[in-house]
Amino acid sequence: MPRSTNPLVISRVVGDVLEPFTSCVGIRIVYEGNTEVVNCSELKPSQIIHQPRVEVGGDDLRTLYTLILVDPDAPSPGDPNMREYLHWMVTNIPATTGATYGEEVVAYENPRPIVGIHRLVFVLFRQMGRQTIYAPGWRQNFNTRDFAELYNLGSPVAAVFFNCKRENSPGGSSRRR
Amino acid sequence: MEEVWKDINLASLNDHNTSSSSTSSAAFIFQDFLARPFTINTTSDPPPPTTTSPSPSPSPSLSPSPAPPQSLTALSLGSHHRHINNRNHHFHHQHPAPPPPPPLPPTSTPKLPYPSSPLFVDTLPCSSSLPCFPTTKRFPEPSSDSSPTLDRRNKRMIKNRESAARSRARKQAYTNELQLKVDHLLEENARLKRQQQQLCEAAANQQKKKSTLYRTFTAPF
Repeated sequence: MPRSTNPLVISRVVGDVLEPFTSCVGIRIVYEGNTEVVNCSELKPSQIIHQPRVEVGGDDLRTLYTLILVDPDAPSPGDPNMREYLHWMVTNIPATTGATYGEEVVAYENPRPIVGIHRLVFVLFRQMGRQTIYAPGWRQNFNTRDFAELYNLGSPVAAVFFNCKRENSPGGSSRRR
Repeated sequence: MEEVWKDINLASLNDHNTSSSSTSSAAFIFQDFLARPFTINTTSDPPPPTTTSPSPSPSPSLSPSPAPPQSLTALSLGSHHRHINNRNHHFHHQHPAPPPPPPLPPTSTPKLPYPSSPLFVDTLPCSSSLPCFPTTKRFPEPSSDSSPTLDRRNKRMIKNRESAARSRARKQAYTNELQLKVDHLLEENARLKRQQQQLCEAAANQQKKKSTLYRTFTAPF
C-alpha cells in the first residue's frame, strides 16, 4: 500500500467517506471564537454549537457549490452503524462567497458525540449549474458517494475534517493519574 | 519450532477465511482468529498440549480425541504434532510455550482439506494480509475458564487494538497536517518578505525622484 502523507488519507476520511480526489478549490471554515478548522484538529462540542463561517474559493460567481458536513463515526467509531450522519447541507453557494449565500437544505445540527472521538468532515462539491437538491429523508446512514452520484456532483473539490469528542468525558482529564 | 506452530495457525486461519464469507477487515481476522481456537476447545474435550508442562506426555492428551471419525490426514497431523512435541520435550525444556494450536482443526471444519503431514509445512500459504503477531503471550492459556469470558476478553482486546490503531492514525495525520502547514507558511513568509522588500525599494526609489521634482508649470515665477 503506497504511503500517503495526506492527512485525509491517513485518517481514512478518503476511504470511509470519499474516494481519492484532488483538491482544487480553496475553502476556509471558521467557527465562532475565530477557531479555524484545520485537518485533524480537535474541537469541543461547545465550540461548534452554531454553524461556522464558510469561505469558498473559486473565481467565477456563476459557479455554484454544495457543502455538506457528515460524521462517519456515528454513533461510535468502533461501531459506526449510523455512518454517515448528515449534520448540514447547503447548496447553490456561489464561488468566492460563503454558506450564507447558499440554500440550506439540511439545517445545521451541532454535533454532540457521546462515545469515542468522531471525525467530522466538510465536503465541497462543484455543481454543474443551479440545481435543486432535496434533503434526504433522515440524517443517519447518509452516503456521500451515492449522494454525489445521484446529483451528478462528481468528485469533491475540497474537504476538511476535524475531530470532536464528548466534552467533560467521565474519567477523562479530571482523573489524576 | 515456533515457526511451525505459527505456520499451522496461519494455515488454519487462511482456510477458515476462504471458507467463510468474511470481509477483509483486519478486525474480523483478529476476532475470527482468536475465536476459533476457543470454539474448538469447547467442542473438543482435551485442551491442546503445551510443551512447558513437564509431566504429561503428549500422547495421552491427544489420544482422547473427539469422537467424530478422524480423517487420515488429521491422524497424521496429530502424529506430526506428537513428533514435534516429543522433540520439543527432549531438546527445549525452557522453550516458551508455543500457542496451543488447535491440533485437530479438520474435525471442527471438516471441509478443510489438509494435506498429509510431510507436505503440511511446505504447502502453507502465507497470506500477506495476515499480521504475523507473536503467538505466545497473546493466547490465554486454555483453562477451565468459560468461553464467554474469553470471548468478551478477546472482543475487548480487538476493540482496544482498533482504537489504538485509530489513535495512531490520528496522531500521524495531525503531524502531517502540521508539516504541510509549516511548509506552506514558510513559503508564504518568504514570498511576503520578498514582496515587502520590493515595495520598500520601490518606495525608496520614488522618494529619490520626488526630491528632484520642483515646480515648473504651476508657478512660472
